[in-house]
Amino acid sequence: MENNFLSLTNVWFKYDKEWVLSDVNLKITRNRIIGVIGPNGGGKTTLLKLIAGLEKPDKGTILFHNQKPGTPETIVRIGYVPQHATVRWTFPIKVSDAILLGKIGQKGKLSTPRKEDKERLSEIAQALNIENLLEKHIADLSGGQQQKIFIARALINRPELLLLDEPETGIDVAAQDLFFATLKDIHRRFDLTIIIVTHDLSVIPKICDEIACVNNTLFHHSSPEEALTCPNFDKHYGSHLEVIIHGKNIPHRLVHEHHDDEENK
Amino acid sequence: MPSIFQYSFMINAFIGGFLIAVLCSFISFFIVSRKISFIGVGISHSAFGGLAIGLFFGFSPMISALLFAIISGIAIVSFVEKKKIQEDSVIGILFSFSMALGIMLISLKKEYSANIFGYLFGNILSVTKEDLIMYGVLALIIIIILLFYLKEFIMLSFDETYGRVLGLNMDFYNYLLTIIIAVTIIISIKLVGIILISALLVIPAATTQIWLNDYKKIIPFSIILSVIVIFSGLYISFYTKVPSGALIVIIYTAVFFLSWILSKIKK
Repeated sequence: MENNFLSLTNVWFKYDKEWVLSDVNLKITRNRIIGVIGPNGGGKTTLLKLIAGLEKPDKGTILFHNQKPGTPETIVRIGYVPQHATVRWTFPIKVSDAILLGKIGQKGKLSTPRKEDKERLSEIAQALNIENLLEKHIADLSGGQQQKIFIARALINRPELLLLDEPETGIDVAAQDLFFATLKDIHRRFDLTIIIVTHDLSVIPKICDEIACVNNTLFHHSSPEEALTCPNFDKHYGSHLEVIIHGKNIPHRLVHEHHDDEENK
Repeated sequence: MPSIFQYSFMINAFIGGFLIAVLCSFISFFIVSRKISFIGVGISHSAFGGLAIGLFFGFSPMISALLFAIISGIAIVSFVEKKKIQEDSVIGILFSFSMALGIMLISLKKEYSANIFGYLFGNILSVTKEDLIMYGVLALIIIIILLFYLKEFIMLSFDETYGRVLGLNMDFYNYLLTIIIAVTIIISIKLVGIILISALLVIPAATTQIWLNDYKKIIPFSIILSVIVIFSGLYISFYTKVPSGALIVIIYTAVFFLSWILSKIKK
């Protein structure tokens, strides 16, 4: 049964005439956190949209609980938080209403919140530590708070799978550790499988159980330790990079300058 | 001084005014929050060509205006959605064509000039009981649709893309809302006229949004404010003999600027 959670078999997808993803095969088991990494334009976001059912593969099959994504049955079981928030920030709506608005009822229509929806909202708000934001206007929040609201909205339908596209965007470095700790907490608390697309490799060891490396195809899928130390990793990634794995008590290091020209002389 | 309610045309005007207040204010919220006031202007002016066709060929000008308004609205939204032509270009073309068509047809039959003036600027004397029955039925249908799909229309206005993520047919709701705007404009033409209706589709929500930032409050307060303004305009116009449509728009504009100035002082 667990093997039927999510599977992509020989998936191909093209925009116009250009193949963005080719022959992707991926099996994801329940209750894991999977990081999807790869260079810009490598098809990470497209992969997430295919799993969410927002795009249909040109070839191949995607099955979530043996059903194709995008059907009314799967939509409520897959929560999706896009990379760029598309909300109209000036729209006059309270945070609590913005979250509850995403509640899908019978026949795929948005439903009026019931008692159990309001209880679910309280539960989510507590888990994400946003209880004090519920009465605020959506535009009055910081980048990190907004990201949590969109995650809360995706959780209102009690999904089993949560898809996050670069959730660290808009969150400052100091707040990122706390943000990922919160994600880890909701993963446990709500029995969620989470797929995170990110271009920030430092996210991976903080939270992920598995790593899927995508650059127009899936070129690696394993534990983070295996993937990041894989000899051909940078070749597939399409960029020269050196991964430095350090202990828990050593602070993250930032490279201020990178003089490629001088190094090449 | 004669009582205003001795005259059946004034009673008709107040009933019509109430229907317009409720409809325009409700829709005004979506027009202002989605920043699509241009659609209201485009549809209302396009209706002029429809009116002229009806008058010229001898069938109901309101029916032809309604059809013209709906087709124009759908065309505007369709072009904008497909991003084939810029929205202001589409409206500029449709707006000018429709007005030009109307003026040409009217010039061929000069006896319609007086009627056309009423449609352009509104004439409360022209609102009949038959009109009110038709408006009442249409208003009831629109209110039922707005309430039934309220959450979907809110999602369309707040986060259309997420609506699509949830599997909602946002194109359907977009076109439905456009048709509702077109029908509301046609209902309002006799009372306030084609030229002035845009004000009633923008000012109610624009005014209440100065003070409130929750749609659950903005919609009912916009309706209450519109009823007060429209009734005041009708009442004053009866005794001062000034055109009611123009007076209603002037009062509403004054209320808007007064609210805006007060809000700035309060800050």
